Order: sequence, then structure tokens, then C-alpha cells
Amino acid sequence: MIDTIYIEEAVREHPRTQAVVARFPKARQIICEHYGAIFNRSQQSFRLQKQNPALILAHKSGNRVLPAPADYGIGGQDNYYFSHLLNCLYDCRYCFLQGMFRSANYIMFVNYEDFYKDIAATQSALDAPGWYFSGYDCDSLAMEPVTNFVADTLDWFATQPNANLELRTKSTQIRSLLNREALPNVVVACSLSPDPIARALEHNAPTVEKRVAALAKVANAGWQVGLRFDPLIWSDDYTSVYSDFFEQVFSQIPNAKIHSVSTGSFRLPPDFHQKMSKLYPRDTLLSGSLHRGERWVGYPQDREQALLEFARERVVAAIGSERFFPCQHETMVG
Amino acid sequence: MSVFVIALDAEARPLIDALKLKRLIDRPWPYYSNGDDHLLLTGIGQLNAAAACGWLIGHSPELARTPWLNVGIAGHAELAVGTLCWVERIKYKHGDLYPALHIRSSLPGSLLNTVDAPSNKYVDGQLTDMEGAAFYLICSRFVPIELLHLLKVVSDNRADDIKNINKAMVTELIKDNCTEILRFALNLSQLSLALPEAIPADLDQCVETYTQKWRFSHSQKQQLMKLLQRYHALTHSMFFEPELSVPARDAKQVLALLDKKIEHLPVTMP
Repeated sequence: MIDTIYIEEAVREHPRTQAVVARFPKARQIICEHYGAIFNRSQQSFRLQKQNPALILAHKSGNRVLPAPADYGIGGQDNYYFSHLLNCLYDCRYCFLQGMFRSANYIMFVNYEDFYKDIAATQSALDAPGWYFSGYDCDSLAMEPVTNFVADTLDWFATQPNANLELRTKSTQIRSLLNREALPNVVVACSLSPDPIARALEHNAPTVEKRVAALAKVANAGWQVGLRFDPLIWSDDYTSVYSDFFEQVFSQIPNAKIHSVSTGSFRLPPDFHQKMSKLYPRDTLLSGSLHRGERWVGYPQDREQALLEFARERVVAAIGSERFFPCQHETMVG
Repeated sequence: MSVFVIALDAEARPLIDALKLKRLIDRPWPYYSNGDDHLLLTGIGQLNAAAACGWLIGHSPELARTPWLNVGIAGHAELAVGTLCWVERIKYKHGDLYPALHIRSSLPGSLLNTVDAPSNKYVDGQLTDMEGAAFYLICSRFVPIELLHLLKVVSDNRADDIKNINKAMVTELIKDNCTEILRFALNLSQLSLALPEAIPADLDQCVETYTQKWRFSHSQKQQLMKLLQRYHALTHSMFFEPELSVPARDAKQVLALLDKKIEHLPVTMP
């Protein structure tokens, strides 16, 4: 799975570095001064790297906990995100990471404890329990066998009843969740699309059937779960495609365990869309009829509203409106 | 399909023979090809390597989608003479450079220091050559770095002095590693298939059907090309001017009509 591991000099001896390296005994190890020399350089091809990404083990300094975009919330007032990992195992054609990063290599920041320290500091300044989202720049669970992030982070969140965590994923790597008792301050959220859309756009990700089955297991084990229908993708037969899909999902996930459902339509910042169109000049989603606004490229308003309204009706019919959190245009989707 | 960039004829000979390359150009730099693979003889030193690579890409810009490999001999403190190495890091005064390996290879990796004159001052764990850094810096301006690599065969070390090197020995060293070098190049060629698709072959011809009829400014022509590429992505066919259903007054109207045409294409998942 990983053929090349770059290791920042500063984390060479870190126990997590040692553990990752031990997991890939045949991988080539290359020591570097700073991850930026590999991750941020120019003239990289995201598309070539995606064929066989390298793993970079690094130390995260600077801002580790950042305010989440304005409408990213699922009921809380204070929302933050943090990224122990940059980039994703999957290759979803709509994912903004392709437009945001120059490199498809994975960066794993091994200093988890510094993230926890910063979350604790952030939380101490708040009056109400804050929400901390981990799956913004990566998939929270997909690389769990390598990162051990969920197991470690849940141990910490178990001691922080005033801080809520969202793990967002398309993965079926749920062992670390099933191996322990469910935590009341954690939501395991799964990004889902109808099967024909997932097959066309969510390359390398588990099938929707498998994702729903895994999420049902997690819910049945006592965890609160989230459903993320974001991005909603337009096709001329979207009503029938999404009708079947919503029925499939809501019939399998126990209603009482659904913490929240969010929706959002396909949208990208213009510069990300331009970069992604160059990466995939023959992609039908990126080449299709999109409205180019000042801040966002997305579906023309009539299509966007039709999709969002259709989804809203179905979601509200299934779970009511209290647990429904539509995302508008302030966030991006991976 | 690869471009081999090599300093000396003695280093190049085994690849020229193995790939049955023909000398097509003598000056300013000897250039060999068999149609698929290419070899450029740069002469010794960073200036020659940089100038020759710049010349070749100007001569054949289509090679920017092809793997480029700098192959040659190098000194190393400890590794045995004849060892083939992949350069994993290049010393550079403004910060070291890291060639991006996204294919499987079992070749040992090494740090490379490029110097301006032959040297027998060996540093532990380090290759020494005379072209590598310049090759990488110049070529990374026009070739994706994932397709840009350096393979070096150890020719001398602390035990086997640089003074013992001669042409015949150099040729033998490369010849002994020729199979591995070509395997590496082949794997890179396969990786290059994942590059973004090239502009459709008939795009220029299609654009001409419009520009012959209406006057397009430079930016309008760029917009026209983008619209036609989008149409091609969505329909797998080109939209030639005679297919416009309404006669257009000017370029601006052509662009609007094309935009509308794309907007009304059916949207189904592939």
C-alpha cells in the first residue's frame, strides 16, 4: 500500500513514526528537513501521484485547531476542525482536496498530543461544548490501520465530556469503534451518494451498500451516527436516483441513532474548479453546465435549489427537521 | 517511451545499442531516437546539461509528457563499483530537492551532490556527479516531477580511485545495468499514461472552422477552445461550426450559442 515514506528529521524517533515504519518494512524511507519540500513544491502532478502516493510523517506546528466554515455545524454554536492527516485514500472526482493541494501524497502529523492540547485550550475559552471535526482534509477512518488515530483520539475525547467530536468517513474501517464502548460526545458520520453516482465519481471508495452496512453496525453498537448527503449530484433523473437511495439508507440505519443529517450541493471555489478541470479535462462533472460565481462554481440556481429541496423533503420526512442541517455555500466537500 | 539525458558517449553507447537508436541531429547536441525513445548527449557539466535539455524541449515540446532520465556514472564513498542507484535527494544550496518516485522500484536510494570538477573527496552515503542537479532543476520547469529521475551507476569509491575510470569501463558499467535502467524507464512510461488527457487531436481543425468564418480575439479563441473541449468531454465528439443551429453574427454570439448548447446537453451518470 505504501512504497515510499518521507520522514521529517524532527519526528524520526517519535513512537508513532516508529510504529508506521514497522508496519511497512519494505517501504523506502527518505529523511527530509521539512514536509513542505515534498508536499508544496511546484510542477507536481496530483493525478500521477494519486497512482501511488507516498506517505509523509511530519510534525504539525502553527494553527492546529481552526474555526470551521460558517455553516459546517450540526447543532452546536462553536465549530472547529483539525487535521491529523492531509489527503485521502479515495479518489472522488468532486473532492476539493484535488484543487487545494499540489500533492496527492498523504501527510500524517504524528504529534496528536499537540492537537489535543490545542483542542483543550480552545474548549476552555468556550461557554458551551464545542464541536471538533476531524474529516475535513482527510477521511477520518480510512487509514486507521496506519494512523491509529481513532483509537488514540477516542481515548482522549472520553476524558473531555465538554468537547464533541465528529469523525467523517466513507470507510468501512470500523473495528476501532466496535472494539470499545460508544462515547456520547462522538458522532460517526458517513458521506453517502446513490450507487450510480458513487460508482461514477467516488473511485476506490467502498460501495454504498458496504458503507451503509458498516454504519448500521456502528449505530447498533451504540454510537450516534451522522448521514452526510454532500455533495448532491445532478442528473436528469435525480428524483428517481435519490428516491431509491434515501429509502435504502433510512431503512437500514436505526432512526433513533441518527444524530444529524446534512446536505449540500456540488460546489467549488473557482480556482479549485479550474485546477481540477485541468487535471481531468474529460470529466463530465467538471465539464458540465456549471454556474461560475465570484466565490463558487456550482450548479445553476434552479438545479441547485431543486436538488436541495428534494433532499430536504425526503430527509425531513424520514427524521423530522430538528436533526437536519443543510449546508449552503460556505463549505467544501471531500 | 523515455528521454535519456547522458553526458558522455561512453555512457550512452549501451542504451543506443539496446534501443536501436539512430543519430538524427549532430548539433548543437547529438540527439538520437527510434521514434519512441530519445537520447540526448549533453557533454560534461551542469551548464551543458541545462543548455542541452532546454534546447531539446524547445525542439520537441511534446516530450514534456514523457519520462526524462539522467543516466550516468557517479562516485560514492562506500557503495561497490557497479551499483545502480536511484537518486532520492539532491543537494542544492536553496534547499535539497526530492525526486518524486511513484512507481515501484527496488533500486537503492542515495543522496546526490553535483560538483563542478571531478573529485575524490568522498562523503559518507553520498553520490557525486557533475550534471544531476542542473538536469533536475531545468527539466522540472517543463516535465512533471514524477516523470523526472536520475539513475547513477557507481564508478569509483574510497577503495577504487576515480583515476582508474576509462571509457571501456564506463560502457561496461552502464551495459551491466542496462536491463534495470530500461525496466525503470518502462515503469515510468506506464505511469505517464495517467497524465491528464491531451487536447483532442481534431480540436485545432474544429477551431479553424470557426476562426475562418468569424474574427476571434485571443481571449475569445481561448474561450472557444475551452467550450469545444467541454463539449468533447460531455459527448465524446467535436462540435463543428456548420452544426450551429442559428446563424451567429459575431464571435461573441458564437460563444454564447455554444455555451447554451452545452447547458442543454442531457446529464446522466456515466
